Amino acid sequence: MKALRLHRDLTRIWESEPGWRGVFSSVSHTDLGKRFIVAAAVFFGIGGVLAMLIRAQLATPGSAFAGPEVYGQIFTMHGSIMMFLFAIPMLEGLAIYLLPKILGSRDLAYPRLTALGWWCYLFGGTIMILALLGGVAPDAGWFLYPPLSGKEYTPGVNSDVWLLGITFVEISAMCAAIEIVVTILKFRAANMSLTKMPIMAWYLLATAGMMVFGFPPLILGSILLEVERAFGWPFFQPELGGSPLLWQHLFWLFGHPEVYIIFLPAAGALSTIIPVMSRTPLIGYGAIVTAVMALAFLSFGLWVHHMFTTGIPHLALGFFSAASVLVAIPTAVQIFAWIGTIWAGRPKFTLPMYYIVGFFVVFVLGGLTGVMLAIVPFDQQAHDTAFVTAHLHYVLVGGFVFPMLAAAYYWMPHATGRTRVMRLGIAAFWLIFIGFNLTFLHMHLTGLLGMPRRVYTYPVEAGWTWLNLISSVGSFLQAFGFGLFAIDIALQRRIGNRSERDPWEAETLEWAMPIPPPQYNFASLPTIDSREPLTRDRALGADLAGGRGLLGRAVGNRRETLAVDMVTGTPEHVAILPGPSLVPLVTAMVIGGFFLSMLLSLYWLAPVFIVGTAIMVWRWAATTGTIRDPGPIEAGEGLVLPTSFAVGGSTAYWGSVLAAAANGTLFASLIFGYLFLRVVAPNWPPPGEYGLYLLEPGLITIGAILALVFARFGRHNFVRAKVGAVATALCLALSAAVLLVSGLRHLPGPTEHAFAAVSWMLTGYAIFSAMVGALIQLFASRRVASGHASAERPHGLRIAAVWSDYGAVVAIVVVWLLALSSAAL
Amino acid sequence: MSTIDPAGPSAARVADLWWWMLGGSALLAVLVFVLLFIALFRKGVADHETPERKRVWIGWLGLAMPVGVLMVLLAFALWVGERNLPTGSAARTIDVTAYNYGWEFCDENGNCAEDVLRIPAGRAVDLDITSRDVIHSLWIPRLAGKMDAIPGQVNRLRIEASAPGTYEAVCAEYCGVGHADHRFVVEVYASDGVAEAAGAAR
Amino acid sequence: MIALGRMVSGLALWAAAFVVLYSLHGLGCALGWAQVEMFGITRAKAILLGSWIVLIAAQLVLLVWLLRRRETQLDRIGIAIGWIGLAATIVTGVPILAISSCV
Repeated sequence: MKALRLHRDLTRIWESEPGWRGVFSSVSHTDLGKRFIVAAAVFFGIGGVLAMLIRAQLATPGSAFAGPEVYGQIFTMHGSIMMFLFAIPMLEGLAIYLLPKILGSRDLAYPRLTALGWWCYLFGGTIMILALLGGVAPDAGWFLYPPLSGKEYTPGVNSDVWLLGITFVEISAMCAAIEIVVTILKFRAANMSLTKMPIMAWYLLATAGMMVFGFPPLILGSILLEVERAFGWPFFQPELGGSPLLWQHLFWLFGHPEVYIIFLPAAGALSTIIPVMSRTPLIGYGAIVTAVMALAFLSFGLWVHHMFTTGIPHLALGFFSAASVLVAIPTAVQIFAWIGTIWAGRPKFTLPMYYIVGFFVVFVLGGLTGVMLAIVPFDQQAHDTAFVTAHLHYVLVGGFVFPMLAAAYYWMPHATGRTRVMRLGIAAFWLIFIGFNLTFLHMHLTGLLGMPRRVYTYPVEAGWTWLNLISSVGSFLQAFGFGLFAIDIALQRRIGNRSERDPWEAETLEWAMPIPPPQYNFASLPTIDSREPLTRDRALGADLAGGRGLLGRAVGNRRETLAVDMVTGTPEHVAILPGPSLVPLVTAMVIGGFFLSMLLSLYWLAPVFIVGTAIMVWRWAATTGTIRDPGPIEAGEGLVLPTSFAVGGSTAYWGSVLAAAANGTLFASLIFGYLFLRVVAPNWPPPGEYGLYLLEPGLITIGAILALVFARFGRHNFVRAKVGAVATALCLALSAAVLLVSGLRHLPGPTEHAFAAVSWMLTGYAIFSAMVGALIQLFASRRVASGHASAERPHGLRIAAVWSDYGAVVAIVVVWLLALSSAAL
Repeated sequence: MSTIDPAGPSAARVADLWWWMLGGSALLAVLVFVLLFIALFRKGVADHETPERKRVWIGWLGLAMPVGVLMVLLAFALWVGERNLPTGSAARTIDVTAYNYGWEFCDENGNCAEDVLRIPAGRAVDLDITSRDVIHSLWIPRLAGKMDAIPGQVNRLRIEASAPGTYEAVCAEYCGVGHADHRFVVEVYASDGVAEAAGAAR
Repeated sequence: MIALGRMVSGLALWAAAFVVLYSLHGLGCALGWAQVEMFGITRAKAILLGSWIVLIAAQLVLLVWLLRRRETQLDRIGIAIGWIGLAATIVTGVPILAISSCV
């Protein structure tokens, strides 16, 4: 009876608002995760239709189905949609839905940020699709190489759609990355130490960590190219000291880690599902964690293997070739650990297992061709041919789509509480599996026979006719397969029978809850002493539902969950999470206004939306925290813990640190870009006289150091906190002003030469960072005045210091870099 | 147009490399698939991980085997790559300029031709490749790997044709609406001292 | 965070080593170090070789430091990653021995 009452009370606290308002204000990770997954599936369908158009066009030589202009849009959008609107959001959706459930938590670390990410993804994706329908979609290939994508060769809005639309969507990726890392490190079940985490959490931790460092180079590249297109700053124009290769470096610096960002969550799903289906634990947990970490790092040393034919010296190619070969080893470790697990167990031939076997066949072949392409001389032959098209589909479909299909069947009973209806799924599997191989296996040969990528037609004499026709037939089989899969899933959702609670006899915590899951996940939170909590205690789910765990109560409208020590999992504080809100939606709309005004060339309007965004973020932050100190509270089982309002190492602090890390990566990429142009680009040095200057660097150094000091003013004596915050803001604002003056006095106009362009970009970035720091310190001073920050709750000041310190350091680095490099010209 | 029907030393070395890699890959794939098949269908009981199992699956199969295979491959590949570089002297150096949509070839004497590259058989020829507008990529599949034509920089590619004849070439990097037809032909004429020059090029 | 940082330090050092080698190489070729002789080899190769050896030594020092604590599974994973970092630094640098610098 207690269980029922608890369920009613917790549902009241955690459920989304009723009706349409709830659609717009929901911050529930279960709702938003499902939305991400469904939207990604819809985009997959759109990308799939484009793939069918490609195969229809290539089925016969000299086809008149699509002209080269339309074909350019089709293949560019196929790649862009599959990468940015399907794969990444799909893995984000999986993580958002699953993470709190496998970790034993009630929600993610920043519920409203999840919602912001969702709306940014939806709006950005919609812009892309509308452009496609309007016939102005990007058409320079999904990696958008300038100069082809530049203003001169793509005068229309096409490239802008890509740069702005994708960057808009990437906001959601950055939000998700930071949120996933912090959630895994802080929101776990009591006593779940890092090495007692379910293996999936390690995979997602690595993935999200890679996203924090992998996406900023792409975002920077997009900003540079958009600024070049909009305002004529010549970052990529060789005649003015730019280099088209800079884009390729920035793009692939993101683009290669991206492949592993996509693969790792799928591999995590495999490491989760294979042991369950084999009825035995995974072989070598520690070895797999090691392999995952190795992949996460090594994959950042591969990016130049997309550039083996750009004329980079062979020795540099050798470094990247060696790293590309090395990355195969941790992958092999996982493959054999999985096969060994199946070997040790008694496999169940369920539908997920079909897709897992499909994964092995397809992915192993893709991995082997991947090693071939890591070999410099072979890649120079195979690069940019159908061989690469075949390889990348083997890797991405094998390494992501097949595992995701397995995962879909595995977790469908969890999300819907229903079991599979008919044997339709088996037929769908065979159609997809056979169709896929019929499309792509011999496409390797097509490439070796000389067929380049991205040609809209080919002559009969080339001898590729039959190969292409078979590929087209195979692709349509595949399309039927995916159609059947969609029907099967829809049927399961609608008319499937009720599933029992843990239909696969799995061991992870997500099965220790009623299915479909209640909005609060767990009526009370578990304490963990092993990696397979359900094997140890089959009654765990019932115990938790009955409130025999931590925080098994309902207090007012307070959304409570447990935060733990990052390493040991010892309970640390009770995190109090925000409820439904329209702020994320409105913020996303204001950000969207910025992107739209850029897209429509209404450049005077864009700053209005930047100010609007700042106002929204201010309001957002203003609704957090409390002015009444609840003090330490009971958490059940005799534990008394402080609340998140009163502790220093709160999730917001760590989120800010991660945001600074991502931001720092963007900054480092910009400095890399500057040095790269200086060393490699033609037409340097820039015309004109340059020399050392010390006045502005000196002033800014003083101002920034003062900002660093003032930000610490209230640390030991809270009475001075408000003065310190205001003074920090003032110092940063003055530094920003001096930065501007320094630029005006010492730099030529940004359109004259890449040196000026990149120097102005650095200056602008430093001004922006300093202003953000100043605003946040100003906010902190208001918080002190309002009583939200107090001697008992000082952590708001620590968070503000992360941002203002960052702005101060960037200002110092930029001004000295420019002054000294100006002297060295 | 076939890379596996090479007509010059550079492409021939890569074709050899390809056949070796294909053979090795086929063996590895068969090994993995056979192990997987047995694992799926063997009559087993569900048991737990043992140190021995970890040693076999992760230590030997996962770690030692790939390390061995890949290090040999990497060494072989670096050696082939080094041999394909434009080091040592070439018989001819030809300036190549790619543009939307054509190719211009100029020899040392300033004689230029559009969309036809004429080179002597059995001699190493260096192509100094650049672009006038967007990025292109020069590819003569039967002679050598490809090399990008990038505005603002000159990339050197060494090619050599063993025998006279006509070889087709394409642009491999997407360069806009005319990309599919952005082609040229290589006409290789017989030259004196074929054997001697071929020897010198090695 | 510190425990996690320690765990991945081997590969983090590899990443730094990789960046150092790649940027030194780019810088050296731009400054014409491949045309200057030093210790009987080109200056480009000499500087790269020297840096490579120093970086390998750094990996070894790190590994020794990691080996000093092996209490938890996290420590043991960190040691394995230390070995991987060492191996990766050696393998990614091997081309320096065999390949001409700036062609």
